[in-house]
Amino acid sequence: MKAAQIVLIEDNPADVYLIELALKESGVTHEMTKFKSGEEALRALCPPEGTETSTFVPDAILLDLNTPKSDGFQVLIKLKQAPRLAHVPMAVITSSQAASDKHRTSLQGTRYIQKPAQLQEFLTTVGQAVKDMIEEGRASKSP
Amino acid sequence: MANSDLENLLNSTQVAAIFLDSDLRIRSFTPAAGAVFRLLASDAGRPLTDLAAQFAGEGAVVEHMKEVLRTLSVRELALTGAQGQYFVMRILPYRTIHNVIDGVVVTFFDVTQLKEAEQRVLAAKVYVENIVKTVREPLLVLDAGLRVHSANKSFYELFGVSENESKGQVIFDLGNRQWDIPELRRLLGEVLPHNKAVRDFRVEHDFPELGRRIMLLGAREIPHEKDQAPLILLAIDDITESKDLLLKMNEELKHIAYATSHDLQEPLRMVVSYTQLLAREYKGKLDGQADQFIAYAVEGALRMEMLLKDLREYWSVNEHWRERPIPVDSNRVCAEILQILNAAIQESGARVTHDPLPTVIAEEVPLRLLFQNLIGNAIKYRRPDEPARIHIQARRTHGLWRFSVADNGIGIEAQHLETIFAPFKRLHGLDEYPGSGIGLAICKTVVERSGGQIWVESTYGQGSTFYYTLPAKDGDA
Repeated sequence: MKAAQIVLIEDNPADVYLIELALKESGVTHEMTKFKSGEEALRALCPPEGTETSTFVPDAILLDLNTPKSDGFQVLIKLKQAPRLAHVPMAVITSSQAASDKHRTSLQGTRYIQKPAQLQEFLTTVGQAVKDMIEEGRASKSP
Repeated sequence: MANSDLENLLNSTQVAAIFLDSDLRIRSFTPAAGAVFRLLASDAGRPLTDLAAQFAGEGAVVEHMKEVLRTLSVRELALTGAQGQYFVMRILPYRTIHNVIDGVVVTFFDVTQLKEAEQRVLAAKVYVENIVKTVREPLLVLDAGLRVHSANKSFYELFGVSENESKGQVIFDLGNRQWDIPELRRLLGEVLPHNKAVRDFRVEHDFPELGRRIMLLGAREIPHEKDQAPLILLAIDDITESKDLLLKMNEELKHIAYATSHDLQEPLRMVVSYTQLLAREYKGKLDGQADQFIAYAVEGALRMEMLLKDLREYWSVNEHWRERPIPVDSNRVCAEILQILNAAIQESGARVTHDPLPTVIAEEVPLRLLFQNLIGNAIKYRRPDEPARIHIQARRTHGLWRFSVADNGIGIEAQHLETIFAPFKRLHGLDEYPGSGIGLAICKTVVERSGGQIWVESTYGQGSTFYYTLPAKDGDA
């Protein structure tokens, strides 16, 4: 199977490592594009109209809600509004239960992954979620 | 009477008397008078004016004596002595045995002690009145018939009544009967007669104009005039505002605790995940001691994670108490909880039964926590040699439902019956019965916030019964 293109927006290197480990152990063949902040991701993935040079469409976007300098939800909304990314499955990953309750309703069609504290649970949960997302994205693309 | 008898009489009494002739010269005096005015036998024949110098207002004294001689009437004067003594001086016409007026008799009574006592009483009264006026706490003095004897300015100000309309009124009639408070009637009618002094008697009352006030009352019987019933001093400490402040601070602290328990999640997750990763990746690659150390770190991190999770649950019961309680069918809640606990019930061989349970006024989520914790505990704290038997029932009492969750488990020692409801209170080692000790604290919060009470009865080694009350649906008795 062709390597899945995964975009990960996450500033914590410890979490980046765990997420990559989760994909590896779940057998997800992938290439990962990493961004340390939402702004950085937006600049690369949805540049202003007309300046777009890339045609890159990832298979899944994983976004940590608590990245510095920008409100994760604002970033998510902008990503979702970009026409090129319209069919890309997106997931919010966070350890905040409160945030999930507050914004869940505004996240129509967005997957929500709560980071478990226990290592094995984390690896399984994140790995399975990304697998499902890739699956879902491919299903929606195929006519 | 013989002259010598008279002399004996005068010498033996302590009466200070001076006899003067018609020209107001000293004829004779008693020893008591001699001692007081430092008279010598040789002073006989001296004019009184020499003696009168000892008294304040001498001219007046002589004038009074002349008046007595002229009018033959008795006069009484108050005099201050040179050493600050107080005297009552009586001036009488001196009659000879032939009924001829021949001078005056002047007697002196030293009333210094009496006068001083009077002044002390007056000073004490002024002192007390000033204290009452100065104290910022409203003070009220009632007589035995509970009528207002006096009150201080703070009282009149705080409760918007005037001195005139209050004095002599029975306290319960004051200001449109706004003081007719059942707790106050109980304090004055029952508590005080048995105790003589009561402190911090709490009264909460809605005053028509002041709104709801929370007061701590101090009451004391104070001895009054002789042969009369004691007065009652009532000090009123209005703690409404400090209570509001405390509540506000408490709310803030709760909020901080809640936020902190959330903020700690993220760094703790790092510790848990990475110690576990360390254990997984390096097991057997370092030495045996390193494996053990890592295992300890993992254990500690997991335990902290559990504590935080339970703490968040505890705070969320406190924090998310927004909706108004509604009627909830506890049969349904109980059945759902038994479903959730099914695995634990099967595994332990417990048998859980319940009578038909009532509909209560509560909130759904907290009520579930209550059932889950109590039934869960009853399963957990079973005796090793006997499967758990748990029975839940409810009885109607005074507008409330009293639930009981009875088990045949290990029981609780008497000295722990009260403390087990405190947060993080644990009676067992983690290896015996794991847990954070937050469950019963959650139960207590849930029950008390619903307006009920929770308690436990237990025979150590034989079982426990947890009781709690919840408001009934229709609220009547």
